[in-house]
Amino acid sequence: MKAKKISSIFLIFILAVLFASPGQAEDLTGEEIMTRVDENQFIAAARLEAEMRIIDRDRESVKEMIMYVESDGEVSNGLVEFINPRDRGTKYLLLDDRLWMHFPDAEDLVPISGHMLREGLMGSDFSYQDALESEQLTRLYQFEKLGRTEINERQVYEIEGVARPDQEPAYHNRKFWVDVERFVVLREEMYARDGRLLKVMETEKVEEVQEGRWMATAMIMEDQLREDSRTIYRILEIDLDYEIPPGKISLETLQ
Amino acid sequence: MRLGLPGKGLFLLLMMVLMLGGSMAHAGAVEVGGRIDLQAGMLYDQDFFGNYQGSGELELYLPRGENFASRLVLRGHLNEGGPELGVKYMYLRYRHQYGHITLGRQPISWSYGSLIHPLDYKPGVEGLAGETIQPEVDGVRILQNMGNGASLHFAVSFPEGLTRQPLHRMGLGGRLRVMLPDHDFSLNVIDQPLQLFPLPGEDNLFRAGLTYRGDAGPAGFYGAISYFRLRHRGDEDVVAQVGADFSWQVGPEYQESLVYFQAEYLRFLLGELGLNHLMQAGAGPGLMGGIPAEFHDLLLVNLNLEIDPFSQVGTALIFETTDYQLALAPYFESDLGGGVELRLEGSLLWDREGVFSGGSNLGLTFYF
Repeated sequence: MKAKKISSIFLIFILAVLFASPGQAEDLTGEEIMTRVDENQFIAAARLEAEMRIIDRDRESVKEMIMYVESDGEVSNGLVEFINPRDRGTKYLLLDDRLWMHFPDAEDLVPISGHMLREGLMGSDFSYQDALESEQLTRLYQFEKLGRTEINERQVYEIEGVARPDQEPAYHNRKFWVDVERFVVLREEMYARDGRLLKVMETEKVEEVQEGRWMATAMIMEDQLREDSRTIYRILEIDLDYEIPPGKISLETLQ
Repeated sequence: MRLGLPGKGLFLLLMMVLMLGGSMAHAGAVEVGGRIDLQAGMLYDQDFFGNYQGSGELELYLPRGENFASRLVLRGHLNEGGPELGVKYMYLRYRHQYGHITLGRQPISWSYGSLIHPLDYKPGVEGLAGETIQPEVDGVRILQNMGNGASLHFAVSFPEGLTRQPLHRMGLGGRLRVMLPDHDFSLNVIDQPLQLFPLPGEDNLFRAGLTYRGDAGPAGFYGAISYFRLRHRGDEDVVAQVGADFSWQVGPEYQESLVYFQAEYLRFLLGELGLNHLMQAGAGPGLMGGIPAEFHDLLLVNLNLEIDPFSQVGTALIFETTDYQLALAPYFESDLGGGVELRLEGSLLWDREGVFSGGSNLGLTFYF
């Protein structure tokens, strides 16, 4: 059974968990490379502690969060609990490709409307839609390998993704620079249909979180339409063997 | 200094919570968080008046047990009468396989995304001019999950005190909610005691009806239809609400800032009851700026522009056709960093004769 890329908001940040197998990688097509990225991002269950630094000119806001993610290989779900003082108690639930918010003052679940998905997550450069589509890249895009180049002294494949004719994703085109050994996405660019560059994501740090398994643990997202704005996402702690309590990621628990 | 605890029952519950927190303290430390709000402003109503107030909240994040959770939020106010302390939330929650039972002072929100919800258990406002008011409830809430996104909610409340309350002065409510992809349905039935206002006397307001919210293309739409009845006086009405929300990005010259627009219209179709009855059953008559008029309809518009990741500006417009009063509530919010937020707000009110009143307010909030 094909392992599906981890859904979510939560895992747009996690992008790329890899098994290095450089010997056969040279002959891979663009589709095969992105499928490898997909497959290697699979996580059955994990608990993460992370922070998001939203920077605009000389101002900065820090969001701290605990995330739970689980996937059975077909469906991926997740829960984010914010723990910084301003947002403490606010939760996002991703369940079956739907997003819900939970506010501590109401203790009720509110579905996030479709038109709100373009909005930045907690004011960051990451949108809700970035999150939702991060798990569906191979369904939404056709990939082509453009060649090889080098980023930060790492050899990378340059991959272009174009929206499939029957799909309307948030970005018409995307470019990926994928580490040829670790299959970690080191850079990503998102474009509008008219070719305008909308967002750029760069991986700041890659760590071996398990033996032979690499993960991007720090990323910078820049919304090119917001002048002097960027969001730095860092995973502070990750437990890939975490046993998520039954019902933790569910509508029932948040009501 | 007055201690705003309403009775012995609450005090005993507080002790229970603290004891439970103490017994679970072995499992983890109790953390503390909260906020401090300070506001100063000026009001014009035939003359100018200044005002100042401070408030704060302190939440103890108690360790959770396997099936039990508790929440304790204390609050304080500084106002003309001096300092006042009280309890915002204090409850115990027992979780089981199919839901939970929650006992104590708690939020009960049956929101479906409207600015004012005619079928909320205790109506308040949600996101109007950036403000949310959710009345707390003393009572019992039971949630029973039914699977596939469906759930049953029951609530019993003691709005006029915790002890020796006659049954007819207690609040009762039930909600069946079905959440499907892109669709959110609710069937709500509520009976709340209320003081008739501005008329003297007591009664019970019975409300029953349906709500729906869904997406249609780039916009969200919602609506409610409900039956209202004052059980003793016999006055009844049918209340309808329709609304929509939409967001879009303005041009590149404004850095593609996000604009959010929401509008809704609520009407008492028979004209026998009014908005004051609805507010009296919830957040109280002071919610709409202290206007006690028996409005039979209400148009609410919310407009918000996100200037940058830290700042937003917006306004709310409130209009009714009973007295043709119009209110505007512009505001500006900005995160100053270091856990401090600034809020500037104003209120402008015109009545049928064109008489104007208004005010402005400057507030600082510190989160810790």
